[in-house]
Amino acid sequence: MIANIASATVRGAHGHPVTVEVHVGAGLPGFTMLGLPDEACREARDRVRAAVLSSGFDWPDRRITVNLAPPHHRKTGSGLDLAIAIGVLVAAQRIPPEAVGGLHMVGEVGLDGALHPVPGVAPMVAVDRDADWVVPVGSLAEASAVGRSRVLGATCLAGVVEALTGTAEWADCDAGESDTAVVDAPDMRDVRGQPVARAALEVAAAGGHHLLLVGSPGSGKTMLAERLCGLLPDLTADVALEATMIHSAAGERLPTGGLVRRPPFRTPHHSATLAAMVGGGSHHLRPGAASLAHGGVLFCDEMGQFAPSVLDGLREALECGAVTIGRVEHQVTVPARFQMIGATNPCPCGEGLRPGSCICDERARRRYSQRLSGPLLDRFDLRVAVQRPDTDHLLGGSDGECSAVIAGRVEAARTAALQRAGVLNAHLDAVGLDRHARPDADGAARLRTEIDAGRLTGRGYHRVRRTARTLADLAGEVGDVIDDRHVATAVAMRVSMGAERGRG
Amino acid sequence: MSAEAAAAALAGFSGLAPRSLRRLLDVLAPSDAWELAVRGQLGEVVELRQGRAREVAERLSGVDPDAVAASCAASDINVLVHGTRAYSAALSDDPEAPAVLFARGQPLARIDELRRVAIVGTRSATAAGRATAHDLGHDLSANGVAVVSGLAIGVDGAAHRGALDGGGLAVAVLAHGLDRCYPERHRHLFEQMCADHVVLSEWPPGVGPEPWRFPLRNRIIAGLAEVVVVVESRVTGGSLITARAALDRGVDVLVVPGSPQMPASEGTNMLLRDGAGVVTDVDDVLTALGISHDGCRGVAPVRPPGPPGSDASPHGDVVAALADGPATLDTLAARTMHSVADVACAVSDLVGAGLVVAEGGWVELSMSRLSGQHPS
Repeated sequence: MIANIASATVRGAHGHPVTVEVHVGAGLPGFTMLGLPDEACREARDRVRAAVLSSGFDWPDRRITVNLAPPHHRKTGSGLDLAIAIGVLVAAQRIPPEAVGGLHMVGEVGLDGALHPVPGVAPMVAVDRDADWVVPVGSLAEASAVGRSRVLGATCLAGVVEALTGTAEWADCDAGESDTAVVDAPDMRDVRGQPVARAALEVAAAGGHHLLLVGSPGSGKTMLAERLCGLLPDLTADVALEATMIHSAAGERLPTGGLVRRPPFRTPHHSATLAAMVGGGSHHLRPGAASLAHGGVLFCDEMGQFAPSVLDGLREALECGAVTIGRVEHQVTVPARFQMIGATNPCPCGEGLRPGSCICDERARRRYSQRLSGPLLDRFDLRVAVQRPDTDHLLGGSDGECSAVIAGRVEAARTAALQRAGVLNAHLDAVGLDRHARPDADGAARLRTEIDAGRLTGRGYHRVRRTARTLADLAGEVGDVIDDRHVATAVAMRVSMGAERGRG
Repeated sequence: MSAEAAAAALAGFSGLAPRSLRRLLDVLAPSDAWELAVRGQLGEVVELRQGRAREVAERLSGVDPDAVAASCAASDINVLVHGTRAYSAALSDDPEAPAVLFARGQPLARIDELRRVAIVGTRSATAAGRATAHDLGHDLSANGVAVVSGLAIGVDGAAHRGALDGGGLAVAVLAHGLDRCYPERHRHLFEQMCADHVVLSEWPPGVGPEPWRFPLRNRIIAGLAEVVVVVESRVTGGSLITARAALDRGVDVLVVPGSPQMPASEGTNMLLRDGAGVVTDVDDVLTALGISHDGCRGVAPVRPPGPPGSDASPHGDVVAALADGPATLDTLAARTMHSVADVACAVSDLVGAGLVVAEGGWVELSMSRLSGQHPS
C-alpha cells in the first residue's frame, strides 16, 4: 500500500515542496528513508515510531520505505515528521486515503505524540498558498498569515487522525499561549536635548537614509538608534509577508497574529560572523541579521569593531536589497532591504571630535579610522556627531517631542516623496535628484563653496542633496526647489569621517 | 671608516642611552669607541651595568658604519659630532646635548646666529590654538627669530608654517631618522624645511618614530631654545615635558592662556599656576628675549569683516557664543536661541568667510588668541 502526503522544507527564506511517499509492504520488518534526509530528518524514523505507538496506534510490523521526493535535494529539519507519520498510518490502512487528499502537512512530533512547531512554517505554506495546510497549533498564526485557504491546527498526532477521520474538530489557535503583552517601543520623548541628533533620526526615518552616529561613549548613540523603528510606518503588505517568511525561516519568535507588521530592529553584536550577518549554514541556509532586518533597521554598534569581511558582506545587501548565498549544489537569495544605523567612536579614546581633547596618537587614529572602508562610509547619507547632552538638559530639561508626533510628520514626508518620485529620497537617482532636488541660488552657491574648499566630494554632493530633499519634505516644502536653509542643515549633518578627515 | 660614520653607527644601533653615548664620545674618538664597542670592551671606559657591553657588541655585530654613513649621504644628512666645530654652538653647552646630531637643510651655524624660540603644544589643538601658534611663529620669524618645534600635527606644524610664512628660519627637531617623514601628513612641510630650513635629529637614517623617542627629543628642543612658548597642552601632554626640561635649564617658559573649560588648556593653565609667564602678544616673547619690538609685525591684526546678514541674523550670536571655546551645533542652537537650521546656515556662512572652523560636529573660532586679533 502506498501513501503520498504533500509537505515542504525550507532553505534560506523559501519553501520547497516535498512529497512524502510511504510504502508499507511485505518483507522483513524495517524502516528505510530515502531522498537525502539530513541527520535531524533521518531521526524522524524513531520519533515517528514512538509517536505512533504513544498515540495508541499499532506500528505496522512490515517493510516500510519512505521516499522524500524530489530525491535529489537535501531535506533538513524535523518538519516532515507529521507527513511521515500520517503517511505510515495511511499506508497501513489506519486512515482512509481520501481523508488526506489535497492536504499539506508540516510539523514535528514528540515521542508522546504531541505536535511541535518548526522554524519556517510560513515559507513552507507559501509553497502553495491556495492549498489546505495542517500545522501544529503553535505555528497556526504564521501559517494563517500566509495561507489563503484553510489552515488547520492540531495539538497532537491523535488529534490529527481524529480530525481526518471526522471524529473530532481541528484545534483552534490557543490565544492564551501567544504573547499578548506588547512591549512598549522606546519613545523619542526620553531623548533629552540633542536637537541635531533628533533631527537626523527624523530625516533618516522620512527619507530612508542610512545613518552613521559618531560620538564618544555615553553620548546616547544606542538610545537614539533604538528609537528609529518607532518613527517608521507599518510595513506594506508585501514587505510584511517577506519579513514574516524570513523570521519564520530563521526560527525567530513572531508577533501575535503571525505577521511581522512593524519594522524589525536587529542589533548584531560586533563579534558576529559573516554567516550570522548575511546568512549561512550548510543546507538550511538560515537567514542572517541583514535579512532579519528586512523592512526595518539594522543597527551596528561599535561598527569599527566588526570584522572587515562582515561589513563588506553587508555592502551587497546595501546595494541591491538582497543577499545571495551560494553553495555547490544551490544558491539562495534572501531579501535584505534594511535601513542601516552605524555607531562608532571617532577614535580609540572616544573624545576625538571635541577640539583639543583627543589623546590618541596619529597612528592609532589612522588604524582606527581605516577600519571603516571608504565605500561603506559612503553609503551613509547622514553622518552625525552625537555629543553628550548638557547636564541641565539631562536633569532639568523637559521631555522631548514624542515619537507619535514625529511619526506623523515622517509619514507625511514619505507620502510626499513617494508621490513625487515613486521612491524614498534615499533612493533617488541622479536624474531624479536633478529634477526634484534643485537647490535654490543661495544653496547652490553654498554647495559650490563647500566643494571648492574640498569639504564636499562629488558623491557627497548627491548625498547632501538627498538629505536636503528630505529636510524640505519634513518642513512641508514639497516643491522641486530646495531652500538654502535645508542645504546648510544637510551639510552640517554630514560630518567628515575617517580617511577624509584632516587635522593639523 | 670616518669618525662621523663610527659616531652615526654608534648613535643609531648600539642601544646605548643618549647619556652613556655622550660620556663615551666625550672621552674617546668615535673610531676608537667603535673598536671597543664591537669588541665588547666598553665597560673599560664608561660605567655600564653587568653584561651591557656584551649586548652592545652583539647589536653592532651586523652594523657597517660605512653603510650608515652612505645612507646619511644618500639623504643629504650631515653628521655632527659633539665637540667638533660643525656641532651647534647653541646646543653644545647643554648638559644633555646629544653626542651626535643629524641635520638636513641649512648649515647648523645659521641657528647659532639667530635668537631662538620654541613653540610647542598639543597635537589635538583647537583651531584657535593652531591659529595662535601660526601667528606667533609668523611674527617671531618676521622679527628675525628662529622658531624651533617638533613637526607634530597641531601646534607644532602650525608654528612651523607660520615661521615659513614669516620668511625667517624654522627649526624642526624630530624623534626618528631624517630619511623618513613622520607624521606622513606633514610630508610637504618636511620637504620644504629640508630644503630651506633646518631639520635635526639625534638618530641616524633607518630609525623609526617609536613613542619613547619623543620625550627624549623634547630635551633638544628645550636645549636649543632661549624661550619656550606653550600654546595648548593637556595635563598629560608631551609639551609639559619640554616645559619641564626648559625650567631645568633656566629657560623661560611662556604660556598662551586658554579657557579653563577646554581640556587643551588644562596643561597650560597648570603652568600658569606654577608661575609661567603669559603670552598675549608677540611683544611678550620679544621682551622675554630682551629685544625690543621693531615694528615688524607681519600680519596686521585681521578684523573680521562684519558678519554677513542683517542684525536679526544669527551670525553675530554664533560668533559670540563661540568666544568661550568650541561648541557643538546643539549647544549653539541652545545658546543662541535659534533653530538648528538657522545656526547651520550661519556656521556654513562663517566657515566660508574663514572666521570659524567646523569639523566633526564641533564649531570653533579660527582666530588666533593673540591680543588685537580677537573677533569683535
